Amino acid sequence: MLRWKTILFNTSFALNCLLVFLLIFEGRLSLPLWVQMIGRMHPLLLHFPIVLLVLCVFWELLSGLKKSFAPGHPAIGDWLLLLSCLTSVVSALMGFFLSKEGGYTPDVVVLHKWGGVFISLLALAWYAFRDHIRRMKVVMAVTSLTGLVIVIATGHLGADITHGENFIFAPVTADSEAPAILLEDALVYEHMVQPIFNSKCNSCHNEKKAKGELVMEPAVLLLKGGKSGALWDSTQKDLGLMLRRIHLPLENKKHMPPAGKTQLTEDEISIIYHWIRGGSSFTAKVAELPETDTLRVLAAALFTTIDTDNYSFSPADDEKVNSMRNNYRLVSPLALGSPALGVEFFGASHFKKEQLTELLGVKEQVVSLNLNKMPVTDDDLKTISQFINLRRLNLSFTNIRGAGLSMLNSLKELKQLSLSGTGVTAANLKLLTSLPKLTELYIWSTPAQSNNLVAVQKQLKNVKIETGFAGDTIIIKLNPPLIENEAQVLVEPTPLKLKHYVKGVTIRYTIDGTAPDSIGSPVYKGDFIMNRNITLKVKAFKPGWISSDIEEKTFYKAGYKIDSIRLLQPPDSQYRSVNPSILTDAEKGDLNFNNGKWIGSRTSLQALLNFDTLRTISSVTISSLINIGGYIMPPRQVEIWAGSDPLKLRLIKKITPGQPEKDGPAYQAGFDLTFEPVKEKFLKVVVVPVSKLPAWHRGKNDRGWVFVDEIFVNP
Amino acid sequence: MEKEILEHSLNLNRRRFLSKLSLGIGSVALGSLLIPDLFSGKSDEEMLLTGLPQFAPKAKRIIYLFQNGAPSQLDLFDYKPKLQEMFGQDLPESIRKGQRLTGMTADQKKFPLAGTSFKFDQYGKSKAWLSELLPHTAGVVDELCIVKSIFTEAINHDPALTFFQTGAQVGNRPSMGAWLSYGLGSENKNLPSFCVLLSKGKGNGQGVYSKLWTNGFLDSVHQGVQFSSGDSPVLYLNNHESINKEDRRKMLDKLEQLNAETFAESGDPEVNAKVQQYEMAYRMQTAVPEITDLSKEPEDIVKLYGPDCLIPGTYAANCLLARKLSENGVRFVQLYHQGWDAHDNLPSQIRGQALDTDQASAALITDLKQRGLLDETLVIWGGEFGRTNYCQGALTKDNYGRDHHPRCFTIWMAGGGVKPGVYGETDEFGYNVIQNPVHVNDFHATILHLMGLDHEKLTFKHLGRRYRLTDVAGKVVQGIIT
Repeated sequence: MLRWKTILFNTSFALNCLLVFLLIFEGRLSLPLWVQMIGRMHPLLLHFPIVLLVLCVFWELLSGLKKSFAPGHPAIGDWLLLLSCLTSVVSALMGFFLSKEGGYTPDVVVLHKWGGVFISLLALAWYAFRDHIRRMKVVMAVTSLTGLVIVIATGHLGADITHGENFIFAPVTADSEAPAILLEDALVYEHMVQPIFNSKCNSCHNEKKAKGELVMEPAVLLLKGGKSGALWDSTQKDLGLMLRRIHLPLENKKHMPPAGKTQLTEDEISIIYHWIRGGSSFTAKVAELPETDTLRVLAAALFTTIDTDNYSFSPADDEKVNSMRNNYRLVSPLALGSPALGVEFFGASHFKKEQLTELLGVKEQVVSLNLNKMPVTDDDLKTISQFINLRRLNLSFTNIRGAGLSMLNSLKELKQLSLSGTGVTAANLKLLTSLPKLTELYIWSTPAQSNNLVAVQKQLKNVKIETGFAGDTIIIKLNPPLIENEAQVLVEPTPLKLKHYVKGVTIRYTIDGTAPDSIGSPVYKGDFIMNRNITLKVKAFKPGWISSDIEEKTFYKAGYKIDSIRLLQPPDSQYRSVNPSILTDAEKGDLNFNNGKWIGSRTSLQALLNFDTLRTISSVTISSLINIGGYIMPPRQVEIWAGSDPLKLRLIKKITPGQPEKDGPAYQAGFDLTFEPVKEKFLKVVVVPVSKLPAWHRGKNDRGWVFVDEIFVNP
Repeated sequence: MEKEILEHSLNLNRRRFLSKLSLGIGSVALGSLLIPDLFSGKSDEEMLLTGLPQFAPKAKRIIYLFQNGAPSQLDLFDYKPKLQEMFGQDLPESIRKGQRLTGMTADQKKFPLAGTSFKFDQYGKSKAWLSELLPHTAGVVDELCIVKSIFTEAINHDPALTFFQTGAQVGNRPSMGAWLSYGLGSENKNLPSFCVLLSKGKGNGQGVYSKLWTNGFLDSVHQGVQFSSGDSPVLYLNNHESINKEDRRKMLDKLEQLNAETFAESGDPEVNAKVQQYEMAYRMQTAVPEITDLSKEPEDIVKLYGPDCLIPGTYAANCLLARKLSENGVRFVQLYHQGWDAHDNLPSQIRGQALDTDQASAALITDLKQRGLLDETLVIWGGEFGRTNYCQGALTKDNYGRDHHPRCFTIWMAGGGVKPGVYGETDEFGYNVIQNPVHVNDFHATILHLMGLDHEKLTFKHLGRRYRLTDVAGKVVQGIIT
């Protein structure tokens, strides 16, 4: 006897340890199926601990109060306790496993779970310390009564989980639990608005209480309103009394529902608001509302819709699925816990037919198969036809020619089939005779795309055939050629480099500033050498396309090498670190005046150029930037001074460039100053910005800027 | 004697203690069989991550066409004739309601309303209003879910952009693409799961920087990989000129042997992780050039995306590249197109921007659709905030500028489980949302939902607390989901 007691007690102890351990690592548990089976026996066993514990309570209390109650049977109490202890822990463990299956109301399950755990531990402790407890009457009473209360409470929660809440009283209380409503059937008032009134308003505004003389049910009385009048008035901006009361601050006496009562949620207020605003219909159906209507949107969260995909097959073995996965073949469940598998292939050069046949090991589970760009042929369709549960099949840009398509007729679940970029013709498509669920078929970039599809469409009545974009009838404009020569200053004879990315394009160009045309202008062949100042214009032509816009670029032939340069007046502080030699380095700047290739000034830019030997000079070009929005205008004035002594220079040319009359995009401009040839060693260039921006400019009356990146001195 | 009794009972107790202890340990050992990863040393978050969606996803991949700099919703999508009626009049304070302004217009004494100078028309089943700047987008309008009621909290580019990409205005959190890579892993093991493509329009530009595609506190394998437009799309991927493929293979094989020895010695899992990365880079050396080579695209595709799609580094080329990457299983392709920040000269700037982006954006949708990929790919188009209904700077009949406006703007989505149509509405001034507001957090929650992830469950523990893309807010926008 004692031996058995020890065994049973030890077992209980061990199981309790297990229980506590599992509770600690609950989140990381992964249960094999046979454990689920044990879990499902929870309802079978749970009545034992209930009965045994109730018996224990009575036995222990009675025998404790009155020694004569159980003379000669002291062992009965021990046995009752021990068996309660064992059955409790076993039930608790089973219940714990069962709860992992999911599908229960979380709140109730949590309470029930902890109740069960408490009972199990209590029973263990009670048995272990039974002799001590029996000696102290108070402890005994507390233990028994706590046990009793928890057993009843936990048992009740358990019954709620199995039979639904309020199982016992349901037959005698009014039926409040309506069956789940499909969105397709729901009515706006009855299923969205009225439930709010029922739960948050009707406890006061019913026929018995009628606070404020308002009764909110039935609809006739709701329409009548209460003491203060009708509940709503959609002509008013706030839609009338009810919403006004709802929106009052909670502290306000007239706020509804009154402080202390359960308040309306934001969504509920929104439902009432939109129902009234939409005309407070009592018969409107949710499904009839426009898709974007707020009520419809709010309804989506309230009602269930008809679920489309339920997979009836059982999942494949995890290890089998894992072993099929490699760097070029992805095999994975559609989602956590889903039996359905999706398969994708990548890397055409790694594809082998065997990789497809290997998948037959999970042929029932594969619902989506992506073979895009794999060298799959019509022969392989035989293998594919065995994946009987396929929903999506992507065969785009495979080597399918179409003769084997009839093989696919075994795919009764197939919804979507992509054959884009294959060799299928309309005649091939007619082979798809029995695909009852097919709704989408893609045949872009196939011979079938341009075939007459009327007969096919007649046969595949419910299928949307997507033919996609066909470019042959569409004429669009080419983009201009790219001028690849970056340096705009020609230091030496330079071959012109043009490029166009579209195949079969003819590039024509001019160098005299006229627009290139499709007949007379020279065709670019890669042999043109640039060796002087050129205004290059290029244009692309191709049959079937509109010819491109003109792209242009100016090239400058480098002038005399300038031996030294210095600024006579410091430039604006931001540009003081820029070395003035950039003005003579034969390197143009772009439209960004901050990149170190430009020198800017708001007062006047004065540079002194020095040649080691006498030079004959007949023109000077100042290359500058115009960015009107950025206050950079053409210079007000440009002057050239020359002489043999830097202190005794004479003015030989002055120009005043024209000013723009409105804003426009930034551009570069060269200002040419031509004069009677002079032979000198020193040259001074003065560039003066406008002193006042014009009245139409947003910075009117401010000083303008000038920016110069290069000065060319030509013979 | 008492001493002996005490000793005896102590011995008994000790024996009982030890036997019970063994029972306890035994049962714990039994329990541990049910917890496969108990001793793997992984965190709870990692245990939840299986690389699988938590529920059936509507979309498998995302292409996000980010219009950096904030396109003007009032000149593209959100048609407000009232602004033309009230052209030049001051924005009523009853509408502005003390909205904070940027430093650029805070000093303006007047806020003259500027109606758009572009023509609008209604298109498609949903009768969506679109401006004449978007003729190609109008052609695919029946595929678009146009959300006119999105709003943000930030008012300047950097925080707003960072907020959109990472769910927080400060730049230390993982980007959306990194979260998805973390939650779902990659499809194609030969390419990164998060790729970034940049392009630049001629309009006033704002910077993009790598913090926008950062992995933040997540493992660095989730970081976005920026593709550049030159000969070497992924930096440091190509072999050095003096090394050919066979040599590289030999080198990697030898390296792997050495690493295997190190692993046998140290048992450090990082060693194996490193070997995996080397192998992936090796596979990418073949996979990337195959994808980035646009020269073999047929003429149909060139006409669809526009001829610019063959010029590396343009928006059109990036759209085409995005399709190719996505088609090859890249989970998240992030594009940024700069140049939408039109504080002045908006009409001419936006015209250029629209010309650069309209055709290619629409082409991407058509192209995905004709391949049967649109329903599993989510395409998103949008900026970081909107632009004001009043003019910044001087207002003339045909020229105006607009400042930043966070309270409402328009984005569109297409494909992957979104419902075509127009969602949300703004007031007649185009200043406030009056129906179905969508916060940036809601937008993130919805996107994760479409990808099969619960935004409240995709977490990572960092510095003592759990972080999410939506942090502590966000609600799935049911109204735009099919």
